[in-house]
Amino acid sequence: MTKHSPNPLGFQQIQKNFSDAIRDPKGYPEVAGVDERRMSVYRELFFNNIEGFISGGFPVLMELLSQEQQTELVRDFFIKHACHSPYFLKISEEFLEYLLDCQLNFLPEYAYQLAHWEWMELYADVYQNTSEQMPISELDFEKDLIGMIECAWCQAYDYPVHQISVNNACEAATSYLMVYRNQQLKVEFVALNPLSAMLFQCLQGNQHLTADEILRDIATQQKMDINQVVQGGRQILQQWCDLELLTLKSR
Amino acid sequence: MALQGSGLGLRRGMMEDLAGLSNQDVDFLEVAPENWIGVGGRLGKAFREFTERFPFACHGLSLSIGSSDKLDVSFVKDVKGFLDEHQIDIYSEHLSYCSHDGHMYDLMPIPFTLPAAKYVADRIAQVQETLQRPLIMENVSTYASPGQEMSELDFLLEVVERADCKILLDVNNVYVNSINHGFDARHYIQSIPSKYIEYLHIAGHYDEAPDLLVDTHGASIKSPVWDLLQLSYEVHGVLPTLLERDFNFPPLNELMSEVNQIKQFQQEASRDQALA
Repeated sequence: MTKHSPNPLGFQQIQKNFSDAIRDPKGYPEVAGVDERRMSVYRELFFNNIEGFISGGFPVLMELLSQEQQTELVRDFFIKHACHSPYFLKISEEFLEYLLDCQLNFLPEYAYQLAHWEWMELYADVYQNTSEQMPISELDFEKDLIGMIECAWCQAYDYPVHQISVNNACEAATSYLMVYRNQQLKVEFVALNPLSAMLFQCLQGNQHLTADEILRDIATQQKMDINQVVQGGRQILQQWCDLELLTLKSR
Repeated sequence: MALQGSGLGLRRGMMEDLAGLSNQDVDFLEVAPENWIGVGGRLGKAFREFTERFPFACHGLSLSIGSSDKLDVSFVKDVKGFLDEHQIDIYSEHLSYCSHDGHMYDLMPIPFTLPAAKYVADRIAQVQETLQRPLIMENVSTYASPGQEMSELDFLLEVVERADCKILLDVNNVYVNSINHGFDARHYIQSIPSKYIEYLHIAGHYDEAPDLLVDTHGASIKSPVWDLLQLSYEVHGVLPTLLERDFNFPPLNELMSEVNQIKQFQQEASRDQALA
């Protein structure tokens, strides 16, 4: 027989106590009616699960930290950040969001940007195309209206995040990194110079300009020598064409 | 399409190994929609190669049917879109909750109380309406029973009768809980009306202590759990049964020998029932 519940939603208070005790064992050491050994099964399962997602998603960032710091970071994330996504692959995005406001003072100043860079690889790997545009294999600089393939992204970072490792701390320096997924569905990246990064931005939004027109526009905007920009830009575009990163736009 | 025969939970870590399987080897596969919704690239391509060759069931993880958090209706709609896209009719979830003020990505025990059963049943009805499919609720393994006012079995039946939903009976979870909470596993299985059971799960567990088993899905199936599978066939008839293995993947032949063991028990039970 069931007993009468004095509070019909009393079970929700029990759920709150139980989830608090899993997230924050120090803050909520005891749960009424649950012995410590059984509570610790839940605490360990949950923590290890979250830690697995974070260390799997951000191996470089985690390697920069001591074991104690890693544990503290994951615990702080688990306690302070309310995850809204039901998707496991989005736990990385939830973690990035958390890092933006993270107050832990042992994190390097470039922690967020490094984490963002690590996340880009996952993002590019699982990104779902919205169209099936094929890249071009030949390029007429004067005639072709071109754009970037859908699976290419360029991001500016304040640090050379792609070079950071446990043996290589870094100094601040603007870095433009292009991540793309090739036709074999493999994720690659290329470091870009400022001109290439600008070219990337122009190509992404391009609707009606030829390659040469884009390059001449950039030169005019930047008050640079037109011939030099066209010559240098054509070389970059040829490389991107060879990497199958360019698509044809129709006028 | 209804499931039949023996199935295997498809995990990313075993996809390469399973690429050569045909539906002679395994009758159906199962995935968590949360791991595949919106996934493109090499993983999305590999997944599609499987859905084109095998019947599929979906076994969700993040619905959080027992949670105090608001039901995520847009997520349920995404699940429906995914099921429709891949023509999957079977969607099961855990009679559990995995969020409270945000997702926690693992399963917690719903307090077994009558108000909780009513609350969960209402939410199941809401999900079934959106999905346009029955929601199939799985009995979950638990290591504690906070706020318990009724037995796990009574709670399960209360929810299922109120919501008019189906049950995914996980025989390993019945065994794990029978040890963890000291009840009779055979009685539990015998007490569920057959009409509610849609399919079965079986898996391995880890013995943390004589009175505390952990449902890891990381080891081979133990013999008392095989016994409960045979009992389930005896009591409820031969039901589609899926093997779950989530990590510590053994060589493919070892995994397939467990699938084949399921097949063998199914054949034996069919024969016995035909003779009876």
